[in-house]
Amino acid sequence: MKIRRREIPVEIPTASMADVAFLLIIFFLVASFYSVTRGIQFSLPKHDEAALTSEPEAAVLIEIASDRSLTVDSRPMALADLQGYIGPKLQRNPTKSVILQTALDAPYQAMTDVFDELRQVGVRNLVIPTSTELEMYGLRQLK
Amino acid sequence: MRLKRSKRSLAPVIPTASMADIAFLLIIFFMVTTAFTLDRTPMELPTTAQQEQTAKGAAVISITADDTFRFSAGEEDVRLVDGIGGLAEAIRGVTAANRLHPFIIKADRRVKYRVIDQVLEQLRSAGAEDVTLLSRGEGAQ
Repeated sequence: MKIRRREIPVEIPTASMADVAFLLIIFFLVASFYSVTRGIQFSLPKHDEAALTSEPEAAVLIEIASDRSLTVDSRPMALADLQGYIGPKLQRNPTKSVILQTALDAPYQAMTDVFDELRQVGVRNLVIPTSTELEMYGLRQLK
Repeated sequence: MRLKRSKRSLAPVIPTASMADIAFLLIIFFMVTTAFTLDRTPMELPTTAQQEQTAKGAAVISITADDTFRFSAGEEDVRLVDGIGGLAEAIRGVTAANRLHPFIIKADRRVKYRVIDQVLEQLRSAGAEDVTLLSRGEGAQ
């Protein structure tokens, strides 16, 4: 008697591969959504470079008091008016220096709020002097 | 003339072979773009409208509302450091190997600026140049 061999089709089962792949996609999608990897970037002056590349008098001086109130070039100003004040100055001189000085007792958010406004208006030459640099340049430290 | 219909019937098949290719392509994309957070300390980040992507492998300086410092050179998870002195030492360790190494300051929005000032001071004296203040986008939950 002749036994007839049943032919088995030659194939690689790939149906579940897409399931596994989509599961991994969802994992990476969720992981990328929850990871906070964005912020506001700035450059500290080089080690051998002076913190202030221009004279403090020629720059716009923004002071943030501990109660979050702003003083721009010795005049009190609301945060909303900051862009309107600096914008025209930047149009005349795009490399205009802005010095951002924050009172040591002010909350960090007060500083980032102003920094954010300056970034939005397109300030390129922003200086955030530390306490030691303030002493070096004869600027008073805000309380 | 009457056309004869072919007797060979087509098997109903959904072509799924290329689906895995597309899926793996997307996986690679998300793998490359996802930067896993080295610091999972819960804190309220400041909100900003302007944001830029942080550099991959940047060192992380984490400051919580109670002024606790944590540090990671960019490869491993953050570890507790002993005050500003310990942080300064850790920063110097990174900048000694590569002065252009980027740094991320991840600080709680309620932290006093005094602490940020101290950290910037240490970064400046260690010769660091590229600093990013980590923030949450306005409108983000």
